[in-house]
Amino acid sequence: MTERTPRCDGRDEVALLVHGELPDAERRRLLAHIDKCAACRARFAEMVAVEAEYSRLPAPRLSRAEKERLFAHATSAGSVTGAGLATGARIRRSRAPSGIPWRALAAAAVVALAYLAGWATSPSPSADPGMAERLAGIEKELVELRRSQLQVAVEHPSAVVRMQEIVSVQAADSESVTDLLLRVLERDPNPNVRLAALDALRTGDLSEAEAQTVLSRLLDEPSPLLRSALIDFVVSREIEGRQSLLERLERSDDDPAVRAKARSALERLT
Amino acid sequence: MTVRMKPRRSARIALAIIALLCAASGVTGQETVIREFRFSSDLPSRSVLVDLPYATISVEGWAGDSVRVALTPEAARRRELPPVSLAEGRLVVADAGNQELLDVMVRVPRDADVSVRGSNAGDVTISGMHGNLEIENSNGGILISGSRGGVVAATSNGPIVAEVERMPEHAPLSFLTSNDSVRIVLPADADAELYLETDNAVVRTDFDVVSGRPAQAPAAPGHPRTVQGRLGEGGAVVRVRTDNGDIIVERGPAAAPPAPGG
Repeated sequence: MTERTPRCDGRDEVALLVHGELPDAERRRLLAHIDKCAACRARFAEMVAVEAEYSRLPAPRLSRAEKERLFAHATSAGSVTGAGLATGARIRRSRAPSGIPWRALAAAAVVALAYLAGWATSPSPSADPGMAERLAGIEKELVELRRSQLQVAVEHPSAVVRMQEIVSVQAADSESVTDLLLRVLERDPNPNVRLAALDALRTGDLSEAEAQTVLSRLLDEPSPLLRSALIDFVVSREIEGRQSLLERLERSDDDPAVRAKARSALERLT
Repeated sequence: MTVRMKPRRSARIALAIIALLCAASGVTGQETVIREFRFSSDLPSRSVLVDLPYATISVEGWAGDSVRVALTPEAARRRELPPVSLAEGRLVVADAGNQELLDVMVRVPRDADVSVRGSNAGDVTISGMHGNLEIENSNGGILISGSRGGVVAATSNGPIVAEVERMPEHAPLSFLTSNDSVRIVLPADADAELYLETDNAVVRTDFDVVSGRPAQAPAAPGHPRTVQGRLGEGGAVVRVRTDNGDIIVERGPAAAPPAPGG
């Protein structure tokens, strides 16, 4: 289920965004839409991937119309589906299960088509060195946008809304919002939302201090089910002090299922 | 969100509505109608909280534009009705102090958002609601049918059964229970991302799940403890976790197309 609006037909706008040709207000408006719309996000991600690949191609460069035609050709088979935003230099982790690397295939197809079409014949440095910076700028802006949206969303009175925002972050990039996710894990009143935050934290790398914050939740988390999920989490990572905390849970947790889980975790660790 | 209605005015209007409706309707079938509130500009959020720790709670979506709180005639003879108030922009049916067990039925406009907090009395049953649902229970099950909005449901000791009529857009379906099974029926044409985990039992589904990652070691041949994958094109997140119970995700009828204009 994706949000579809008339903007979703605005192929030109996405291309203008990628090429840095939109005015500031329009760019912010489109970025906000892209962040919410899976279809446009997928299209944007593909264009970014294509540009990242293309920037590595030798000259001569294609005109935008040519590139759009090429992009449309490469994706017309319907094989390109929603995937996390990526640049050539950085691939995000995504929980969205996708067994086939459509993005890479699409980019590879574009490269191959470009060569076959004879548009690129002689190796030379990229003709648009500003593209990488522009893409990095757009990505940074999107990360900041997501962060500010999550910051507002975690205070929303509806648990459904809070969880949906966390799930959306998870599909993109959790690392830029780790502190917010930890706050949700510590303070959100709803166990479903806290579990969603823990799921999101699983997808990213944590500093030792952040991992210790998660570990400490083992003693304070009121839901036995969440304590079980936390045990899974700490077993999956090297966190200092986890052994003693698990031993403590095994001895004294109120819930027999949690005590059994802690025992099983200790057996796995040894 | 703040309530714009002044308390005294609010109380007068509420009392007038109650008096009128009780006089007009009195008894509806097997239920004694106790309270009725109409959504209005004074209650703009169309959101209802039912917070009754010692009640078996049934919430039913209906075509009307008011909220009705009802007790069975037998229960109504035994005790007073739960207080109804306005708080933070929503209608609240709450009675934390009274520990006498009772059965309460609440009818809500089906497009409203509903939060239910039960605790010690029994099941929470919700049917025919199209708005978002938040349900917390402790020692009882959660039974949902005909939902179309997001659902966030958790209980400590009890089963969860959810029959989803249509997948929500931009909202999750999340079900947690510590000590029982979870059975979910999704539309046959559902687009969803599934994250299903049970610690000590199995996950079963008759959907063709496009697997996202290898499942953990199966609990029994052909029955994994976790399933993570996509249905159709992916979309709404369906998150289920239980410590001690099976997770069953079944294929229901295809979702009816949305009515024109909504």
